[in-house]
Amino acid sequence: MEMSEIKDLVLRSQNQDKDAFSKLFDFYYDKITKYVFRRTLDVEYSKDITSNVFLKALDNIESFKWKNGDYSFDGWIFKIATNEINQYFRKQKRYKLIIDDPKIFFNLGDDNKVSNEIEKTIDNEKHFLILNKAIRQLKPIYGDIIHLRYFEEMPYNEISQILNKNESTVRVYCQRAIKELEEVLKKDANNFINYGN
Amino acid sequence: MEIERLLKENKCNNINFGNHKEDLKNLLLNRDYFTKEKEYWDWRLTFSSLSFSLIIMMFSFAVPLFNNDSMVDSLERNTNVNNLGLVEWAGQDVKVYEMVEQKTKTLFYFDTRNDVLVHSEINNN
Repeated sequence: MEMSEIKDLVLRSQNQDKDAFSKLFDFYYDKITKYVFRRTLDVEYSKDITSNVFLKALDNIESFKWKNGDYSFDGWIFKIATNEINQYFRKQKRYKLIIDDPKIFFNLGDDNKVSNEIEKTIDNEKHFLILNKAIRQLKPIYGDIIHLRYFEEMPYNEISQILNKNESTVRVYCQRAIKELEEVLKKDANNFINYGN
Repeated sequence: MEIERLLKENKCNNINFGNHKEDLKNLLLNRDYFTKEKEYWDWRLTFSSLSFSLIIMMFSFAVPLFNNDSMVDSLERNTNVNNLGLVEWAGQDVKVYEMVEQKTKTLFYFDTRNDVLVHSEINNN
């Protein structure tokens, strides 16, 4: 979706246009659910967090103002999501999880069709799980940056907006995060036996 | 660079939460936000209130130069003004007068010792 179209949809949503908000929701839903699920690896919590993100976005969209360039709305909605995710981590104290037992590592909720499908998907994403486990061993801010930069492919200026940090600080943190991630993966080389294959 | 490549290639992209999207969308689109009436400023009323306050303020400064009669005395004589008595405001005793004009109520707070206007506020109903 073009940035001008997003701007138009946001403006119309601020004027209570249902159709505009519906389109905005369709555009951001997948991005937000993927971001939340990659961070939490928990289907039920991901649904709850995603719902909260959009409810908060709707409740506050009237007061949203464009700033920091064109990425402003992306940054704004991902900031809401990041805050909700961090709140979840604070509540659950789940930073230190063990990957060896996938049932402990992620909660797939009720054994319904959706959960089974996601379980199959995750099973095929062993590298993702290994990377995710390693990222969780880093400082939370490094985890935020790696997820936003590499999984969500966000530019540095947008990440700086989401995390309330200078762009140069984000760049430095990103380099450090990658270095530390490399160290963690080296230590955990047994789990990463198929590294790069 | 190897790590960066791995991160980009292993994103776990195939996530789908079934009906959650449609359920959440319906919930959002049925919220009060889309039906509530927007509150707009009544500029005419606000402007008239501000003008009136300005006149009162000018009056409070100018009148003592020409007249020994205080603003409090003028308000006491005005039939549109109610004397609300003494109250404590910002740590001091003040006399409060209420001037009612159409939908606008203006409150004047005077220092009890020297009848100097210390505060005023306008309420639009």
